[in-house]
Amino acid sequence: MRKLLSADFSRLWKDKIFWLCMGAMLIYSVLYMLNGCRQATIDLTEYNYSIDKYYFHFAISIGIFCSLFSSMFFGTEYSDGTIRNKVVVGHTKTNIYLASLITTITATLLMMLVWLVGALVAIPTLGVWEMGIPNLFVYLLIAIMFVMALSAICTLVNMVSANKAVTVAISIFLILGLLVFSSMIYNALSEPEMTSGVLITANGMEAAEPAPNPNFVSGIMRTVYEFIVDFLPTGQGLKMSQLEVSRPVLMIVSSVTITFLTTFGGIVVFKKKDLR
Amino acid sequence: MDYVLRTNALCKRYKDYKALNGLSMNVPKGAIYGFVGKNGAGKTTLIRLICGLQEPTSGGYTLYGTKNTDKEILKARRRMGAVVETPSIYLDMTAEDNLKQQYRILGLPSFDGLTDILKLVGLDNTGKKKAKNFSLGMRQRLGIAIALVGAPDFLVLDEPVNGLDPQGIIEIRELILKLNREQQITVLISSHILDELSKLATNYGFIDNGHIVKEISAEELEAACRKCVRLEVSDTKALVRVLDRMQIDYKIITDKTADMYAKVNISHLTAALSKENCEVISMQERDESLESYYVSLVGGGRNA
Repeated sequence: MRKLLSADFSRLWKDKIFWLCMGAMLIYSVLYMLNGCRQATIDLTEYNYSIDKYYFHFAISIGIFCSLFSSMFFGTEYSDGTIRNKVVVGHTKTNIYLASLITTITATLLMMLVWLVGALVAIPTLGVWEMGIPNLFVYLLIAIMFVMALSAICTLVNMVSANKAVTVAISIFLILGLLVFSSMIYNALSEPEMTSGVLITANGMEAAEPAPNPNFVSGIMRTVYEFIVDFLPTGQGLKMSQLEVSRPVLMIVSSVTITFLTTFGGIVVFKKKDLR
Repeated sequence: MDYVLRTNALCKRYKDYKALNGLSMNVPKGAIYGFVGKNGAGKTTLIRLICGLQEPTSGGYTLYGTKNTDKEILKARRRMGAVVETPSIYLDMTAEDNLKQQYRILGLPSFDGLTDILKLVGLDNTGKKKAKNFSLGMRQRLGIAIALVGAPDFLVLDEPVNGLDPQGIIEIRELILKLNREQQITVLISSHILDELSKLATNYGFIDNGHIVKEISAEELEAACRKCVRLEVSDTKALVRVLDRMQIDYKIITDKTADMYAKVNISHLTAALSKENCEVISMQERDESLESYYVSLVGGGRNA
């Protein structure tokens, strides 16, 4: 395993896609935070802006970067046939899979780190985190765990699919799909219970009596929806970016469960897979 | 005799297609084992199995005496290098970086010997040129170079001269002979180019429909491929009587043709046949090659 990790990491440090993703995350982070600073400066009198509002925005997009990088990086192992070099000299498929997972997790965490460091550019304008250091660490822990879960999902796709183009497409669409799905569920949960419209009368505009919102999700469905958002890493990302983390333990346990299940399933499939 | 690889009734099935059907073969230590068969005969499937890329459906094999089901097979595999179908190289890396990567995969403590391997395969002057800009022959040699990292004593080469120009074919042939003679590396080589294989192999395995039809050493093959004279006569029964009297080896091909394995006085032979009322229609000296031997074994037809 150590040998495989050494080989994977030495390739990682020279990989163009990895550095492009790192660069993109840094630029994205700095520009996004500077835009936040500008907004805060303009609206200073109306709203109380803090760095917290922008600092976790990466949680939405990190999955896309993870899928793009890992599918390109490990797709090469199949397209160039180099995965054979590892098996032929006696490495087990389990070790090859786990080394790929660890490399993907490390690379994605580094991309996250680049964002977090780049985002510090906003501190002179927005100040430090209002949520407090303990809360910050909880958020970061959740982020690390869902990055692991995302990496595990991407690794599963990368190791099971042998066609690089197909791998890249499936990987990106899968994460995008999860993101869209989570965002639909999240939006449904954000619907207000009561709505009050505006009536235009002879006396001018009047507020209507509040009425039940037909789109409001209630009862068991609300519980299921809330669980889905907290369970999926993309849902966790959405909640984190909105600073709405309410069940941190459930989120962490969910990420661990996803990481474990996808890795276990992935190894079983990969071991049975006929490599060419 | 010591064997590097022995397979026993090896079977591999892909859904409804049986790629290997009870294949048993033996690769002696120090040999260059030529693996000959038609397209789809199962050559590459066998190579994939012994390289651990795929698992057999049934049957098994031993590598250096270690069974494929034994955990120690991973250690035994450490002693082999392989180029399966296309060379397994990172196209966006230089030849040197590709080799370094394989050193890391093997966990070798230093890059000692890297330059020697590059020199051995003639890629020591490629500098910063990336593998994607290499010619087919250079890629093939780089693939072999990667397979040589870690000083294996068993090299598996799947169609190593496929698509190469004549110069490339000669280079690969000389490299294989050099590795076998100077470093005593056992080589299992599958090839479609039978003439080329005949210049290398010390042993042959002929595969057809997923099983070995014949295993034969180069000496035995040479004996089997003796020079002969093909005779076309009006009556092979008469020919048989005459050749038996003259104590000459022969093989009846059809009711009009026969191969005669000896140099004879033609005047004496035709005179003897004439007494038996047998006419000689044509006479042709033949040198049976690996190709004709192969065709006689598996029936020819498609590409070898």
